[in-house]
Amino acid sequence: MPLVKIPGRDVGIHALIIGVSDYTYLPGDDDPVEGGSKLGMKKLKTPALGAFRFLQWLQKADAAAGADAKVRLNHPLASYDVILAASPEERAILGLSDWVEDATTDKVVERIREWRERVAENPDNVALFYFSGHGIQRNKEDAVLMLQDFAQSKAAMLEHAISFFEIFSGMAPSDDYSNMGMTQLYFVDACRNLPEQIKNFAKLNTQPVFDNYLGGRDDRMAPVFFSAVNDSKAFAEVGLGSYFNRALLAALECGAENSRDCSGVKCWPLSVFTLTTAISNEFENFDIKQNFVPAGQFRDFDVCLLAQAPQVDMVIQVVPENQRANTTVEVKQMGVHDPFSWRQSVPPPAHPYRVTAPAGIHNLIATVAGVTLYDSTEFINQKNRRWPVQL
Amino acid sequence: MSTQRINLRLGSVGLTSAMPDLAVEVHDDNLSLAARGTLDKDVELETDRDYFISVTLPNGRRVSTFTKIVPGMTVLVLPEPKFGGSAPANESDRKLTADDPSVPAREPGSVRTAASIANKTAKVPAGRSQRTTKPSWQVAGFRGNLLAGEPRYFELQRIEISAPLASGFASGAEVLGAWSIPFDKQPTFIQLAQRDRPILNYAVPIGPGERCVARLLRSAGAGTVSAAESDPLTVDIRLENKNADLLLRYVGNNLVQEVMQSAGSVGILAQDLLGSKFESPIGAAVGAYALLRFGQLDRLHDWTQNLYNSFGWLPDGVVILAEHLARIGKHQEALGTLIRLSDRGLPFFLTGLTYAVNRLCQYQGAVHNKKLAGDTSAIDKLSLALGRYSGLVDVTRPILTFMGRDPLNPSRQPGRLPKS
Repeated sequence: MPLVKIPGRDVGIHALIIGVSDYTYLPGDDDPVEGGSKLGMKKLKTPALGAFRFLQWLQKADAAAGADAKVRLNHPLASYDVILAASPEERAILGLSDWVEDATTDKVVERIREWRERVAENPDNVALFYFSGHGIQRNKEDAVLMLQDFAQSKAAMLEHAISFFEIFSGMAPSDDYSNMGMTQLYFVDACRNLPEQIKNFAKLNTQPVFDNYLGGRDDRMAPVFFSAVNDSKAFAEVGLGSYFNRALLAALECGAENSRDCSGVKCWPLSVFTLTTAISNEFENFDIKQNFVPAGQFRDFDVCLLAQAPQVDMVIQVVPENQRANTTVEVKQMGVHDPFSWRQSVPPPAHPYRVTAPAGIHNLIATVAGVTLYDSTEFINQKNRRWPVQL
Repeated sequence: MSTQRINLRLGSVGLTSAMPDLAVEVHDDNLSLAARGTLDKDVELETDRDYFISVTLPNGRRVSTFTKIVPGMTVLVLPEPKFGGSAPANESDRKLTADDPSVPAREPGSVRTAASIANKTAKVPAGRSQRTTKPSWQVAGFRGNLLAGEPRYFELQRIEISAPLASGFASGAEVLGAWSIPFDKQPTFIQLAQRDRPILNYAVPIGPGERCVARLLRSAGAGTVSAAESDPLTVDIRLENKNADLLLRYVGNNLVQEVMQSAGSVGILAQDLLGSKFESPIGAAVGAYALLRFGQLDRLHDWTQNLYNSFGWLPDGVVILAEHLARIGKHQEALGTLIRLSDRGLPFFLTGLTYAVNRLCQYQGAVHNKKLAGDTSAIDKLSLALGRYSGLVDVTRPILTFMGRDPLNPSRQPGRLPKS
């Protein structure tokens, strides 16, 4: 589908979403792994799905959805350009095939350049970049992003790949781009380690995106969220998406920490910083050796606003263990009309107790045979979600 | 409505003074953010109002209290962290109890000291597993400008881990050994070899008159409570400047809000800017990286230039100045500065290596296209030298950590240990 421009919105979020699963020149799942310029990579099954789900979240959260929406973008969505190279399984997902596009290097580079022009029309614009696919982590802030025609050339290994840092630095303001949107947000779900056969990336050239652009004074707000792994490749589960994508989407629904007044209505802002905490919490739930790294110019701004207090995964740990078995724990929310409450079941659930409760003020009472041994009140949010109960 | 300035303390006065300037957050009873800051600064709050006050420990765990501010109240003491050395039920809950910021916790009472495990007399410290006579790890120290020549190995000075840290701050990890490392004008590194794992080389950021403590730790694997002999070891570098150390631990745990707050802490940025004197050059470098990360270019003033001029032994001074110049659009000067990194060596911090590699890559093309003037062979040489390391680093650790037995030829190849 071509670029979608939302009528009447000159200023706002300009999104570019790229998801590459179907690598034309890489072997399929059942084919043998090939080395050489293919670096042992195969076709993928989840990046296009992850990118599509991110698009769906964006559309749902668009500010135009109205003040009663559960999650509302802090800036209106002005345009979105989506390029998906989907696997056969992904194409069967309802609505996804509408966004299947040529994701070869020349086409993608062209679309990136067009995206820069849109963002550079007004300093109040917001640039939003999402990439999912094969990639190799060059360093903490750069990854080589492999496009659909990667490995077509045997002579030049990275001829059909682009450098993320080149995109990032190319979005800096300058005399040529004095109206560059100064709020930018990047998600890169592509990282795996440097293959042993590439001893030095500095020798390998990627396809140029912007022609040796240098930029001027660069005080953009431009955080980058990189999926990151050490000594292994990024993980994904077929049908569910990558862990990074799943963590991001879950975090975007709950990653707010406090309330504030939003034009006379109480809301819960989800900012770059609170999103960072939320993604970390989600990764902890996966219990895998994968994480993400915050990079770029990591300044805080509101991404979206939640209409209600977000749900928090509380962890209640009672010690000492020998007294816990006889103790009953109750949690009750305070200061709201319809309070949340939880009482430990009999027999007790797995310990530490995991309780999903709305962020807010909660009172926890621990009793043994009707005698209160612990009574405390806490402000529970995603940062303050662990409740140690010392009897 | 009146307000009151409140001085926040954590536990006892002694504990508070031993603590770095931890990040503080205050919410009112309407669940709105009322104040943010660090322990070294007072917070101003309305009287006769309830507040939740939280302090973030280096590992992300929080200590909080719920209190009403009354007129005349000037000091508020937050409780000491609970569960000082106890173990979590599983790995995903480690932040409940793993007080060491970098390490998951293990069973209570399982902390072992270097003396109980390793061979004290060995010049190259090594350790053995319990079931075999083969050493399972080996630690060495080396120094040198890895961009210009061969490193030289030196004998590490082992120390005993004596007095436990204050309650709630003691490490829950298994400590296999500790070494005190003094300053040297050449960049210093610790090398850790483990059987069947890549050899890790850790930069040791030290300034003149300072000593860093490097501790060899064994942390429990994912999904397990206690560490097994097969679990990976890590080296934890503790900086002498406690606020710089805190800031790095916040960075390593992705606690960006806390990094933002601490970067403005007096303890980090208390440099005599006008006099160009730095109480702690390493602290200043850590603070400068944080300000660059947050794009706070105006706060950097001219102290990036001073940091570069004053400390010829500090590789990061080169990168910080170059990146600052690049961010304000002075790319020609940035390139001229960056090229001098080869005189000083690898940066101590991952962000430094990253900034250097990416800017050099950007400038290589610009020089080729005559947008910038520069010595292409020198740029290519430095770019190649740095490029050897950049793909073989641990991207989750703020202190530079790269793989490889030969420090000049990084590699993911597993380590080999001596047979006895």
